[in-house]
Amino acid sequence: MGLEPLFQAWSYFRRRKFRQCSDLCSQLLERPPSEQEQPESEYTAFQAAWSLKTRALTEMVYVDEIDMDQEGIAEMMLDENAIAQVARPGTSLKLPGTSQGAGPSPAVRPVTQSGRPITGFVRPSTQSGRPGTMEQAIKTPRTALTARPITSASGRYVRLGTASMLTNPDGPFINLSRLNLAKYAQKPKLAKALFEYIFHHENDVKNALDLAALATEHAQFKDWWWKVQIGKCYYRLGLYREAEKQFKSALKQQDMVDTILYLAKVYLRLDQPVTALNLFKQGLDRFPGEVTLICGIARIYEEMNNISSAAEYYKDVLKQDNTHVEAIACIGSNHFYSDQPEIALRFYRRLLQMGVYNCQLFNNLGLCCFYAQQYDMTLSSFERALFLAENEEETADVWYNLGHVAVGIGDLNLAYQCFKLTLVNNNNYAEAYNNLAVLEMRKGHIEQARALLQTASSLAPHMYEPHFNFAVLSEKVGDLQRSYTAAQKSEEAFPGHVDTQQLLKQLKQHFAML
Amino acid sequence: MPEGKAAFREVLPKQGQLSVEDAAAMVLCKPKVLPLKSVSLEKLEKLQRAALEAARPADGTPPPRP
Amino acid sequence: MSLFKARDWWSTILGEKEEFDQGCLCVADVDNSGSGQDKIIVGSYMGYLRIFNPHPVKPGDGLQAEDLLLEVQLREPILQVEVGKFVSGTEGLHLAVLHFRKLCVYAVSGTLGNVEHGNQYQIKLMYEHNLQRTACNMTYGPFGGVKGRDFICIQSMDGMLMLFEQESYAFGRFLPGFLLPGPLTYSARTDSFITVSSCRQVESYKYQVLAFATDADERQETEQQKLSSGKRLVVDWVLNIGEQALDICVVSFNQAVSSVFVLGERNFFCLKDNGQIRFMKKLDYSPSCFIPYCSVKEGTINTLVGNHSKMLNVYQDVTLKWATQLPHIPVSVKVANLQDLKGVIVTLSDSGHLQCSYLGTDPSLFQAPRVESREINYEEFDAEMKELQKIIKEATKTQDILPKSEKHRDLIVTAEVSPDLDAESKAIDSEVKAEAVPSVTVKVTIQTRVTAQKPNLAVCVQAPLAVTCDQFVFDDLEPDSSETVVLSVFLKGNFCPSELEGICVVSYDTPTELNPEGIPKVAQCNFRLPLRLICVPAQASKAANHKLTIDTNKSPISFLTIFPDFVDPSEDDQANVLGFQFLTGSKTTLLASKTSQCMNMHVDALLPGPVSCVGQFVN
Repeated sequence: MGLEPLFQAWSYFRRRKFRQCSDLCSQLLERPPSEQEQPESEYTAFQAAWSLKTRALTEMVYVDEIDMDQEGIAEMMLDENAIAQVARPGTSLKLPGTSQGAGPSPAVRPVTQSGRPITGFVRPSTQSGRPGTMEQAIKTPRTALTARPITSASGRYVRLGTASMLTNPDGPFINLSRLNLAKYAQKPKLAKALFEYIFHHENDVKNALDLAALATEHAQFKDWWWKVQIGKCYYRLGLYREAEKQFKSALKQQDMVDTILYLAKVYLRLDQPVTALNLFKQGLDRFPGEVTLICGIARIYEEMNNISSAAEYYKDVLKQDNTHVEAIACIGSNHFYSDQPEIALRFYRRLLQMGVYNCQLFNNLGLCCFYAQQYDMTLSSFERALFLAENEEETADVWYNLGHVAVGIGDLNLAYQCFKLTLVNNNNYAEAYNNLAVLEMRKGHIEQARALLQTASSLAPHMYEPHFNFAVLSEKVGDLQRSYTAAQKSEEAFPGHVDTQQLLKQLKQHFAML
Repeated sequence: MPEGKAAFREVLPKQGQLSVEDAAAMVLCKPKVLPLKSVSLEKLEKLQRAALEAARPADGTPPPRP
Repeated sequence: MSLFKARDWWSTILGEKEEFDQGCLCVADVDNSGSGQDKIIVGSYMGYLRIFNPHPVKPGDGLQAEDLLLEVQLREPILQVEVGKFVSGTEGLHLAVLHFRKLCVYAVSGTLGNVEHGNQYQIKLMYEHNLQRTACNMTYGPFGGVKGRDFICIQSMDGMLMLFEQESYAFGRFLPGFLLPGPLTYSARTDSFITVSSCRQVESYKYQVLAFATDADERQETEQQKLSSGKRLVVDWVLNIGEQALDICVVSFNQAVSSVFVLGERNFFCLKDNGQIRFMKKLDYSPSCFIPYCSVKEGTINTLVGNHSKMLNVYQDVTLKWATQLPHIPVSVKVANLQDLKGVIVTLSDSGHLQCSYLGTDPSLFQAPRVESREINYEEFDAEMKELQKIIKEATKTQDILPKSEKHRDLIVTAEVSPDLDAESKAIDSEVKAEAVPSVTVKVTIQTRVTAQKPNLAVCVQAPLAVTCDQFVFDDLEPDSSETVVLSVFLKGNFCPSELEGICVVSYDTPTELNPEGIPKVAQCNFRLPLRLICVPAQASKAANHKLTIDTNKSPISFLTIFPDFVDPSEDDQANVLGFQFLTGSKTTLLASKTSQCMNMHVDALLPGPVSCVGQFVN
C-alpha cells in the first residue's frame, strides 16, 4: 500500500524533506505521460512534478536575499554611488559616528577595518567598511567573519552556480540555455518557481532578469512580486537606482515587509542611512511591532556608531520577541564594552537558556564571568568554548581571550603561552602579536618586541595599539624618527588617544631642540 | 617667586618621593567579545562546507591547492 | 534546550515507521459523549486510524491501555480526518476519513463497561463516496448557509473541487490556473472557499459562484477541461502574497473580528474578510504548522506556530509571548480540551510521535555534554606545569614561531655578483638578436652552523633573464661547514626585463630535540645584476619618440655615481648626458638638467623594460 507519488512528493516538500521530494519527482518526470492526460489541457502532472522539483532544489540552497550582500573589491573601491563626498556627520555610513551617542572608544573596544567597533552579531551582509586604498581593500575581509580575509571557502563559491553539486549530483536539472523564457513568462504558476531557481540556485542574474522582465510585462505591471524580483536582480547587478524604482513601485501596489527591507537595503548601499531610517519608521506605522523593521533601525544606528539609539531599538525588539538572538547579543556586547560585565552576563546567560550552544557564546560568557569577578565559571566556560570551536580561527579567538584572563590574574607566563597558542592557530592574529610584544618588552627583549610589533602593525594597520607601542619602544631606544612616524600612524587610527598626543608633543619638543 | 598673601607657598617634600617620570606605557589590545552568527550565515557556511565536500574527488584526496 | 520546554503531559509513539502529515490529526468530541471533552483522532499514511482519550495519572505518563479507545486498520492510506455533522438527519458529530480515492464517514460510539477497561468503542461506516480523481485534502462547513449540517469539499491533486452534501455528491469544479494543490479552507461568514494557488495568491471563491458555474458532472468534465478559456471560475478576491502557503485557517472568536490566517513559507498573514492584510509578520525560521486558537486580549488573536527547529511559538497578533521547545518537529498542532486538562497543546510529528503538552516554567533538565576535564589536583597540576614549562623553554631555543633575529640564523646564504661580465659569455640559446650576449657570474655560498639535511638551492631570476643552472642539490651539510656554487646569468628572451634582481632560496631540514627527523627551514637572499648585462653605452641622441621627465627634490647626482660602468671616469665630472643601447634594440638617453632639478629620459619605444631598469638605478 503505497502513496500516490505526486502526493508523497508534495508531502515531503511540506515537511522540508527536499532530497526525497526531488528524487521522487525525478522518477515521475521519467515516466511517459499517461493516457489519462489530455495533451491540450493546461494542467499536466508532468508540469506539476517539474515545478515541485524546481522548488525543492531551490529550497535546499535558499538563503534570504535580504541578508545577502557581498561586495567585491571593485564595488567597494570604485563606488559611483556615493552622494556626498563630505557628508554631514550622522548622515553617512562611511564616516563612523560622531559623539552623539557614540559608544566606547577604540581604547576600550576593538575596531574593525573600517574604524567601526566590532558588533555583537554577524550576518552575511555585515558591512566590512570602505577601505581607503586598494591595498587595504585586498586585505579587507569581504565576508563578515571577524578577521578572516576571503578565501576560496567563502560565500562566492556556492554562489558561482555550483549549487547543482549539492542538490542534484547527476548534473544540472534545468538547462538554462535551452529554456524558452518567453514561453514560461506567460505562465505565472511555472514562472515564479523557475525564477527563484534561476536566481537562488543557479545565481544567473541575467537570465533571471530576462524572465522577470518578460513576466512582469505579461502581468501588465500589476504583479508587485515580479517588480520585487526585478529589483533584486538590479541590486545584484549594481543598478541601485533602478532597483529603488522597482521596489518603490511594488510598495505602492502592495505593502509588504520584505519589499520595505529590500528598499532599505538599497538606500544603505547608496549610503543614505537617514532615508532608510525614515523608510523603516514609515514601515512601522503600517506594520507596528514588526521585528525585522525595528531591528533594521537598530542596525543602522549601530553602523553609524550611535550606540545609545541602537541599544534603545534593540530593547524594543526584545519587547516584541524576547528570544531575538541578534538583539540580545548586541546589547550584551555593548554592556560588556561599557564596563558593565555583570549586565552583559545576564544577556549571554539568557542566550544559553534559550539553547544557543556554540563557541562564541561560551567565550563571551567566560569573558563576562571573569570581568564580573565570577571566577568559578570562567575557566569552565572557556573550556567549553574550546571544545565547541569548529575551526582554528575560533580556537585562536578563545586562546586570545584566555591570554587576557591570564594577564588579569597576573600570570604572565600563562599569558605568554596563551598568546603563542593563538598564533599557532591563526598566524595572522595581529592582536596576539601586539600583546606578545608588550610581554616581551616587560622581559626586556627589545628586538623581539620590535619584530612582533612590526608584524602586528603590518597585519592590521587600522589598529592603533601596535603603532603606539612601536612609537613607545622606538622612543625608549632613542630612534626618535621612527617613533614619530609610528605615533602619527597611531593618531590616524585613533585620533582621540591621549597618550599618543602626549608622545607626539614630547617628540616635537625633542625635534625642536635639535 | 611671587610674594604676598595671595601667592601660594611652594611645599617641597623632603622625604619620600625621589623623582617622577611620566613614561608612556605600552598598551595591550583589548579582549574580544565574539559576534554570534545569524541563521543565514550559518546556513551559508553549512552550504559552503557541503560544496567543498562535494567538490572533493571520489577517492578522497583533498582538492588541488590553488 | 530551550528557555522553556513544553512540559510533557502525555505522549506516545504511534506504530512503527508510520508516516503522518498535516491532515492526520484532529481533536473533537467524536463519540458525542456529551461531556464536551475532546478525543484525539489520528490517521496514518499506513491506514491506521486511532482514537485516544488520554488521562495520565501524573504528568509525563505514557500510553495506558485505557487511553487508546480505538485502533483500526483501514486498508488505505489516510490523508485527512475531520469531525463534523456529516450525516443527514442528525446533528451528532461524525468522523470523515479521506483516502486517495474514497471518502468514508463513520460514527464512533462507545459502550461503557462496568469498569473502565471494559469500555468498548467501535466505528460504523455510515456512507462512503468513491472519488474519480486522486484526493489531496478537504475542508468542511455549512456551505451555502445550511443550518445544522456540514458539507465536505475535497481538492484533488489535479485541481478539482468536489463538493459533497453529506450522502450525495453535489458537483465538481476545476480551479483555474491550477498546478499544485495548496491549503484549502471554508469561511462561513463569507460562504467562500479560500486557497493559495501556485501563482502565489490567496484566492477566495464564493460557494454560490461555484454552485452556479457551468454544470459539470463527472461525465462532462473532460469537455470542461478542454474549454480551458471558457467557463472558468470567477474569483471573489485575490491577494498576491508572493509565496506558497502551508495552511489557512479562518477564525471568528467572539471578541475578535473574523479573520483569515495564512501561514506562508516565510511570512504569517492575518487578512480581513475581503483579503486585505490586517497584519503580517516576517518569520525568521521555517514554519511547519500553526493554529490560531483563542483571544485573551480584546481585539487580538493568539496563534501557535510550530517550526522546523522544534520550537513552538505563541504569538498574540505579532508579538511573541512565549517560546517553548518541543521534542519533535510538529506537522500538525491542535488545542484540545481533554478529560483532565483544558487547553492542552497536541502536536504530532511526521514519524508518529504524538504529544500532549502544557506550558510551564520548570527549568529544563538539559545537561550539557561533559567536557573532558579532570579532577583538580593542584599538586599534580603544579608538577605537570613545571615539566611543561621546562620542555617549552628547551624547545623555544631551537624552534619557535616567533621570528629570530638575524644573528642567530642557523644557515646563511649569500650571493656575490662578479663586478665584471664574464670574459667568455656563458649565454646559451639566447633569443636576443645581438652579436654577443653577455653573462655575469654569480657565486652563491651556503654557510651553516647546524646540520642541514638535504639542502636544496634554487636561484630565480625573472624572465627574460635566465641562469645557467637554477637548481642545486647538496649532500647533508655538517655543522659549521659551507658550500659554494657558481652560475651565470644572461638575457635569454628578446625583450627587456623589468627588474635586475635575483633571489636565492635554500630549503633544508634540520633535526631538533623534539623532531629528530628534521623540521623544514628556509633561508634566502637577493642579489642585483649589473645594468651592463642588458645594455651597453651608446651615443646620446636627442631625437626620440617619447620623453619622460622625472622631477627630483634634490639636485641630481652625477651619472658617474649612478652608472659607474657606463661613464668614463676621465670624462668631465659634469657629464650629464648618457646614452644606452639595449641588447634588444631599443635606445634610451638620460639627460640631467643642470639648472632645474629634473632629469629627462628619451626613449624610442615606450617599453616598460628599459624605463624601469634605468629607473631602478636612478632610484
